Amino acid sequence: MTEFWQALGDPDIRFLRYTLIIGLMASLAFGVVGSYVVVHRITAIAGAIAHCVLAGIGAALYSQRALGWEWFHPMFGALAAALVAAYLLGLVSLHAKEREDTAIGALWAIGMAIGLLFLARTPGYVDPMSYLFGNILIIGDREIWIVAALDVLVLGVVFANYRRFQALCFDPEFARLRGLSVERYYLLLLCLVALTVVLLVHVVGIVLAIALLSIPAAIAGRLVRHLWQMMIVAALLCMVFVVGGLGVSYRWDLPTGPTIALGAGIVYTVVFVIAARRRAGRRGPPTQDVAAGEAGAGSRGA
Amino acid sequence: MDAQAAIAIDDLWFSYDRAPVLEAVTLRVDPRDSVCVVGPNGGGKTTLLKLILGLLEPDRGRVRVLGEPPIRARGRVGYVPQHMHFDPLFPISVLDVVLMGRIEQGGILRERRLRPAAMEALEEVGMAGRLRSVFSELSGGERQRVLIARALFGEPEILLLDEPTAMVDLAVESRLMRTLKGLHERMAIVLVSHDLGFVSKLVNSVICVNRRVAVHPTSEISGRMIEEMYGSDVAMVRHDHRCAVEEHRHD
Repeated sequence: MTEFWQALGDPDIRFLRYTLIIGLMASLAFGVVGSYVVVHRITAIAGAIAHCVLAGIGAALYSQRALGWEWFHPMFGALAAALVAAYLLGLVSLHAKEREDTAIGALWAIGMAIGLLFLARTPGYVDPMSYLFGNILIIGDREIWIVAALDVLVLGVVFANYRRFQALCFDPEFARLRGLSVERYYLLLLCLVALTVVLLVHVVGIVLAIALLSIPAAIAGRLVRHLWQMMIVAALLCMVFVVGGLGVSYRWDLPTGPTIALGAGIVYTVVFVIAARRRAGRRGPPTQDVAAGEAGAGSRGA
Repeated sequence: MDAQAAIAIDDLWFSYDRAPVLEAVTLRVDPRDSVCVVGPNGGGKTTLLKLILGLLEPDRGRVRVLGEPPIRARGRVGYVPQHMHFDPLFPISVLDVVLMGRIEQGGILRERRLRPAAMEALEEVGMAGRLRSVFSELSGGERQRVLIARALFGEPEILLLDEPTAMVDLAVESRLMRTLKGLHERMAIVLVSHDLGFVSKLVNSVICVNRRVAVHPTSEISGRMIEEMYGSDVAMVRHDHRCAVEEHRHD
């Protein structure tokens, strides 16, 4: 690992330092927004938003190379596509309750298909893998500034609306009765998910971003008692996964995105196996409370 | 006269698709009334509640809550949903749940001002000692009381409770009843329940909902009648399909 730390200081491999900075910054947004994603159970929607990002990246690269729109950075395309996807998926899940999962799956595939077609028509060679699974070699100054700005935006919106999002996730019906515009805040939350996914598009890629959105928060949820604690622990875990994965990938010359995602996945599995075994160990005869409740219900049902 | 009624419903009809769920419903709940809504599953109890809360719009007829359309009156109505609808893994403290009661009054920075009132609401239901506890670790009855505190924190003039005694044991039930008894001096209480034994000492009329609605004063139902009908130890009312306006009998 010492090589990794030395390499971080090496002026010739600047991309490594940039990746670390982006990873640490993005971890804050991933921990915070990921916690909402996990407690509100919208991982599938978040996954669909992430995949739709490819449509924007494809369109941006095509515009840059085929149309000469140099200003249209792939991250801007990613952002636009993510926000459009978030809005469409939000409308679908608000208004088409019954077949929500089907619509999510369809949009997921449509987004990918548009992206791949754009990339196929883009002059020169573009490797879709770079965007699907991350490629830290394309990270430069510009990417750092975009990530920093988005990160601040996401954290600011959450800070200003922490309680509202909490209410939305915990009991949307009650929140609506207390005057909260549930639809608006739900769409806003999905937009935050969209912005967050884009933060790590170069480090872990859009396909693997969902791992860092859900896994740290899912582990954190086991350890804490409050939503804000969950956010902090999830952000720290996300940092650990990013730094650890980056170090391992550098040391053994492995692709960074998959290494980070797999590391997170292994920790997740271990934590859940331990938790499941503990639960099984604790399971004894039913407690008195439960037994009394059942007896009460039984006599009333008679 | 509507201005004085807590809830006034006039010739209300409602259907989700084509088959009417509620037909020609007319009822009135006064400001200090305590009423219980009973009826079979699928009879329209929850639908009636949602209409009163303005979550549904009637096909025909009119609902007025505190003299206003339901959506405008929401801020003055406290709603207590069933406690088992919640995600058991959600990391949220008792105090956080109660603070939801005034979600419309601003962000975390202004929250300090609201805390004393939240504490007061928790004290009222006997849960002030548990404010740092995690909501999902509470028992069913404790959760129910926290949800009542959340509704009280909004300083309602009407309290709507949906099946507060579902899945809680008898000791919890009587504790809950004491809590509600203390409240009914201050506000109208509407209780959805299929458990008339629990409510008969608390409410002064019973609203039977089974597509149509019939209102009985409790004097008709409680006491001798309830014992005759079910025996004193049976707490559940059998409201099956005889519950219609035309021939509303309890036999």
